[in-house]
Amino acid sequence: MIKRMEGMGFEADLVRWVESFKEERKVIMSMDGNEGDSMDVEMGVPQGSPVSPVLFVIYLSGLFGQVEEKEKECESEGIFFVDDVAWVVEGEDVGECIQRLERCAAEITIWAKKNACQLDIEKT
Amino acid sequence: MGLIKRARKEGEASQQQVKKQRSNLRRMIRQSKTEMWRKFLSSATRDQVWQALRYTKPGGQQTTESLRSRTGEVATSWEEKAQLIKEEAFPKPLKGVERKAQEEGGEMWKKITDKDIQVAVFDGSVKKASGPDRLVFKAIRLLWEWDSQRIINIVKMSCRLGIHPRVWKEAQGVVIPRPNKPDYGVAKAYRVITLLKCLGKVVEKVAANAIAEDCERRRLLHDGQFGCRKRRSAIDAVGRMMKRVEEAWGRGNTAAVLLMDVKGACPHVA
Repeated sequence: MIKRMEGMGFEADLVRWVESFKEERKVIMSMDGNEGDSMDVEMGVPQGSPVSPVLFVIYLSGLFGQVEEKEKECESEGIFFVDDVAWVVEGEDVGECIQRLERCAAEITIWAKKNACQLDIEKT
Repeated sequence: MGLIKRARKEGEASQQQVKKQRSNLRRMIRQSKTEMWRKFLSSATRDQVWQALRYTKPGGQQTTESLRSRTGEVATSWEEKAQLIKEEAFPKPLKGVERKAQEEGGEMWKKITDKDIQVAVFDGSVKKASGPDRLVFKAIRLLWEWDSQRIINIVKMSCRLGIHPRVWKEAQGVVIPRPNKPDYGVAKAYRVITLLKCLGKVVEKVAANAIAEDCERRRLLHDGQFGCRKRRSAIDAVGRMMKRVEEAWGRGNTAAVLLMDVKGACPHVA
């Protein structure tokens, strides 16, 4: 995330703030009317925060360039809505479409692995 | 309520009148509720008395059932259950430490105006739940009326130093069951709502706006990225996809779409 934000040319104070915002987070779990001790949260951004969605969008923005660049001849196009991804391709017949989609999917998987991003296979 | 709103829109009533009518309406509802309850109690039959007693007890509070971990152990105490759900909701990172940000410099904080901060305080609903400190937005708005300079200084300093104070990084994690799950004996069937401290959220909101503005101004995001961007709704995303498909059809070609879901958006941002 930090590398990505610096690469995108954000001001240093803002990048520093994001780093500080992300690190050393804690959560106090409460359930069935009980409240526990504070526990460490080692990754991620808190889902209730107003910055989280925008950070998530920045985090995923790297995926576009990579797939569209690497598989140029597939002429694919990615469309995201926050965490929902749709990858569109065009071809002369179904077989060609499937082939192209498979190549894109492989590229997406590579990106996801490199960026420690997990795709929910069960929901796909 | 609809009538009141319409009167206000068409300029038949002043803001003050609307407020008064609205509170009148609420009072009426409250009074008739109380009246109904009294009637019910005074005319209750033998069975209805027990029904009435049940109504007075706080509802909805049930104990979560025992949970099985992935390794097959059973968690019965609430501490064990909370631990399991926490591990499911907040994953551990797969990779090592990331690179550190620059320790000095940056001029973003200079662009943040008092007005931006005021908007962050007064935007959003006052009804949002508070974090572990129990300070709701209403309290923060009162603080703004009283000493806005203090809030402004805190926000600007936090951005300039690039430090989000530790007290704002501790959230309350409230466990609620996800609806319609086949098995409530596993941690996956529950979700954790993280409640943050409201004053911290003011700083976060200011930072979020600064990042989003920068993204749009310098065109950092891809055209196909929708969601939490201004003037780009889910409908637009679907529209863009359909347009692409129809274009392909227009050329006599076939189009195919691969739909995927990124796992647990927020908890996985590395």
